[in-house]
Amino acid sequence: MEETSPDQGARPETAPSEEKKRPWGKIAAIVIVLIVIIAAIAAWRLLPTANRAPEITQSTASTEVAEVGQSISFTAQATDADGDPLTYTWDFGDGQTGTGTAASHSYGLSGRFIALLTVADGKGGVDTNDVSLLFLTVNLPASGVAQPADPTPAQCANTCTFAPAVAVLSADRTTTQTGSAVRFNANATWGYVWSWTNTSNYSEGGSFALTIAGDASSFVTSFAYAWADGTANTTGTSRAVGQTSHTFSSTGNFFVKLTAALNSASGPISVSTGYTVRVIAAPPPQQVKNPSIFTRVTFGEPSYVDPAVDYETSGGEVLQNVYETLVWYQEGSESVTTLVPRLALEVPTIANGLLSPDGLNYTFNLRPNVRFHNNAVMTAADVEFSVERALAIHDPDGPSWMIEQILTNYVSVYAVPATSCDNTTTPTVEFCTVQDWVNGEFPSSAAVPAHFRAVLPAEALWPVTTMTTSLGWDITNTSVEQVDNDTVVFHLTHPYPAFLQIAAYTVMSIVSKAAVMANGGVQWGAHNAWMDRNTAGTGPFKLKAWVPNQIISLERWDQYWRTPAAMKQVNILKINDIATRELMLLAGDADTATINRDHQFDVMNTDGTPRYATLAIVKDKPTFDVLFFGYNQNIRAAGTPDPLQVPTNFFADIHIRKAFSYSFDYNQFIQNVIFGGGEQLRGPIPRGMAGFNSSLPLFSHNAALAQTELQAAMNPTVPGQSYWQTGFSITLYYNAGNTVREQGCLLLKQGLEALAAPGTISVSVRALDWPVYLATLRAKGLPIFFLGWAPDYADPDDYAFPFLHSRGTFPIRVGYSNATVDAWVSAAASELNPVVREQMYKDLQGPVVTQHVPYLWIYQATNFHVQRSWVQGYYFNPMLSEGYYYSYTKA
Amino acid sequence: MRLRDYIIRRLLLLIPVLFGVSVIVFALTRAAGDPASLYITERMTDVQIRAVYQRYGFDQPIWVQYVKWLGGVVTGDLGYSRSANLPVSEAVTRFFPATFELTTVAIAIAVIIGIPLGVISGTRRNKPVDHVTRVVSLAGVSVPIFWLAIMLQYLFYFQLGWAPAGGRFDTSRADELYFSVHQWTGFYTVDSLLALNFAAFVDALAHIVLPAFALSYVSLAVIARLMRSSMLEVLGAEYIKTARAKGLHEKVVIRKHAVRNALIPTTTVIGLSYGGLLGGAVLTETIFNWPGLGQWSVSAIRGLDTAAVLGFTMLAAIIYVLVNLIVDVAYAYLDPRIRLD
Repeated sequence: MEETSPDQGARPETAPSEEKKRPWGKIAAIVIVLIVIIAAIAAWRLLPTANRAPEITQSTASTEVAEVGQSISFTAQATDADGDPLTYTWDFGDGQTGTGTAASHSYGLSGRFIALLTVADGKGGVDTNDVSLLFLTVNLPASGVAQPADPTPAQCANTCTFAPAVAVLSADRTTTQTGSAVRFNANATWGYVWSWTNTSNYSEGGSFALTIAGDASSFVTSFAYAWADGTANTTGTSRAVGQTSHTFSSTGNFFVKLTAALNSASGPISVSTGYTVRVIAAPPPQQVKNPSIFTRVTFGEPSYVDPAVDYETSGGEVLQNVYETLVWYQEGSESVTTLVPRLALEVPTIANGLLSPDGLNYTFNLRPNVRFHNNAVMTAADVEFSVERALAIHDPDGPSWMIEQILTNYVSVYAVPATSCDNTTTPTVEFCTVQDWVNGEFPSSAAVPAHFRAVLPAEALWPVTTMTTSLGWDITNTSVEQVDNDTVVFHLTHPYPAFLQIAAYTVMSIVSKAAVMANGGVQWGAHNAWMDRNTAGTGPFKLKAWVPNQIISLERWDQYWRTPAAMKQVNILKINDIATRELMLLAGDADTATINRDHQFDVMNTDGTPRYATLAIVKDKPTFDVLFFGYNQNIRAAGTPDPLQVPTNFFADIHIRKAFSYSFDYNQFIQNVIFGGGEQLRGPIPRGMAGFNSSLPLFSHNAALAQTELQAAMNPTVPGQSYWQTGFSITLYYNAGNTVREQGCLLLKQGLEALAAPGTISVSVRALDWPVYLATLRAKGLPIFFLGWAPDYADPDDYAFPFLHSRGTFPIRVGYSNATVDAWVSAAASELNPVVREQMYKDLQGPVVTQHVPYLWIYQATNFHVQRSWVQGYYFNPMLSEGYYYSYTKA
Repeated sequence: MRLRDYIIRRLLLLIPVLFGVSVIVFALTRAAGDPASLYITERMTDVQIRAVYQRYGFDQPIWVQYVKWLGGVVTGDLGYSRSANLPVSEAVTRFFPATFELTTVAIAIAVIIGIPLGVISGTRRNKPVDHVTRVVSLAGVSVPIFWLAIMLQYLFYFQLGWAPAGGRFDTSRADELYFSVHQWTGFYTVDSLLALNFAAFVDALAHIVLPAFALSYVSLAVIARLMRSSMLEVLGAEYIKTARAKGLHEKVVIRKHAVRNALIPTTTVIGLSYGGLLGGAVLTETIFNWPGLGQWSVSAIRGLDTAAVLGFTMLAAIIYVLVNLIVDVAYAYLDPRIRLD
């Protein structure tokens, strides 16, 4: 204690000067004051104003449809947070008004009216029922529109007219904003003109026909519209103003009255009807941010931007704007079945002589004066180079198989380096000779086309000729032939009409030969690193920069062969966080944002309208992405993750497959698992694709039918007993982290277990990590499993073959094999008559879907696109990866 | 001389560390599943799948694959990152500077604000300033960083419009602010100054403020708390009494005697925070769309991207070793009694 006293004594001396000079306190104080100021400003900006407006909680009418003169009761409820006394005013939409929480009104003329309720608190706080306007249809009383009595020959020999007059008014909208034109359509009638087929004895005439007047003006002499907004009436003949439009410049609930003057059998008469138009204030014109730059925020990023190797949608979005193909889909159209020429001048057909009658040779005449982004002019050499280059690279993970299957019969798989081609040691490639390729990929040696034979040795030498990479490359280089500077011919190995659809896919984009050769050229079996990250196309935009994980910037190509695009720049930003994407869209920094269905109600009301006036939504258009369960008819018991408790051929029994298909709650899945983002799938070929069959029956969730099927499915291990009696235990698998598939498995479990007495049927659901899931699936160890499929090219063969042909991807996995279906699929694939071909695809699905049931078809996804309402030019096409920005404008 | 030897010895120690890390990471990523499953899908045919295995060498024994990878590392080829769609070495050079810049600014904010707050708090114990500091730092260690980040973004970007939503530059003015600036260092603030492009500098600064503040807040709070308690401890020490007894000015006592000694434990924490943040701040980078290591590492780990995981775990190991080395050297400077041997 004694030691501390001097210290304590010393302190008071230094303290005063300390107080003056110590800066920390001041700094801290400044920082705190700043924070408080910022918080205060923020709070001030966010807090509501003092008087709170009333809120209408309910407004109802006793009926929505009434007759002229019928009394309608109106009731209203409203609350006011401040407890202010409220006044209720009704505008019935026919020029009449009322007051009070309960009002009644009868309409004096027919028409379509809007009852508008306005509630005011006397302090400037006002609410209207604009979110739930009352729409009333008022008809003439039955007596007023009675059917005319049948005329008798005594009344007139050939034609007679009867009936009272009626006027009808309709419009293209009932609510609108100031400054927007509303189109009206008026009509009136004063009777019917009956013409008997048997004029001598009407009772034997049997039928009569309505005849249409030769000249409408002889019936209706004039129309007059009273607009009720202070502007002059619009009047004229029925021809002149039968259709007219009117723009309301002020807000209100306007009673538009139509009066028609008619010449009836009993002389001139006039008849009226009404139509209410609710006009609200137009929002102030939006300040378009960055009018010449289009910004999209999304979470994906391309793998590559080389059309020869990129095989995913983020890259597809860039490629479809930077590169062009010989033929493409009609711009602005949802249809994928009609192809139009793009870099070619015509789409080859047998009729125009550009497709040889055997279906093997496609000739394209090229569009002149098309310039690549390096300013070189496109020639036939570029076209030949582009396609043969993709064949030479043949990335197994890429899209080149589409053209390999038809141009080279997969020669690249056989033409591997000599070191890999050694049967005696470990490497797994066992095919080394030309004969191996021919045996593996052609129906017979005779099917090897002449252009391949030209570079191959004599046929007798094929078994001893090694398929070297250089030989494979030589064969590849015969598949496309440059005829002259503007003409190129593709030689197919077998007829395949879907070739044109493949030609519309990005893998057949035309690249600049000069640009590629100047930047690394072509190597067999290897990417070109420059092309992976740079582009050399002819499209309306060129790739300006790709900053990984941040931005892909496209710049308008001003030497484009058509009028250059309106957008000067397109920026595709990679924003992983959904909340950030939404904020940027709402703030106008993004013009469109990727928002998945699980977040759709962040931007959309439950009725499907945008939550914010600044947004526009395009949704529910069918895409080609499908999801389904595969029934493994030949389970490999040794490969299952859990002990298999059903026979390996459990799913070979059609009744089991049908019972499962009836046990899945399709509607619940679509509504609650994928949030309405799909429609039930009818069969392998989805809606929108040629060959889609809308008359195929849909499986429904039907426990009774499922039970019937299960009762017919006999359990081989318990003689004489069905699975409905014995029950069964099975495990459903999905890949871990995929909640959609998890929920799907749980729904199927629920449906199955409810079929029989509790405990009889036992279904487990288990997650497998993706690599394990995939490996087990390939080893045929999963009894039933989810599979997804997305389109490569918009041809039904891209669905029929992989789903239905016994050599297709999925039949191999599920053990589905039917020789008849195989023959149908092959025949349809090579049918050259498009009409016949489409019908073949429609027909072949019937037996598969109704009798074979190899899969449980779940759904076909639908689109969800949200953008700023200032964006024009967006259109949905299932084969496009997001936008084709050439057509976009911002205003 | 002695310091140099010490540093060299510590750096040499990196080699076995990196070797160990690479073996463990390689084995773990392979144990997590077949790497080929990244390249193949449910729909591929067997021929396509076989081609994938051959192309990437996944059909070879794991030790052969490791040796091949190691051979690549020796020649400077760290492999290809499928999640970044870039060679690993290029991905690191692109993403690391972003994280480095963000982290450096964040740590700078944390140190510049945190240490004075701790000092004030410690010297003015139980005064209003102390209470405010304690509340601020308690909030810092309790508020989840993603929440803070989202709130900052919502308030300052969406409601007030004072700051950009995220990213490193204004993409609508990319020509002026980004493409025309040569990337010498990958630090946009530094590069824009080197290019004498002040608009780009202001833009880069505007983009870094919110994420850096969000990222700094936890460290700031920890530093302030630790500094406060160290100060309290040091101020009770005998040598402080001695210094005051000598009649030294209180400012000198605090600055030269108290703060310097109180900084020793804080330095360790700063170093560890810095090293940890350099490995990538996943949440902050995701919300503010900052294209750094954090975003990349998450997508790489989720995607079984072995080459990328190896690349950045080794980078993280190097950073940790180096930061710890710097901390140790800093100790010696702060406390001459500490000997590096």
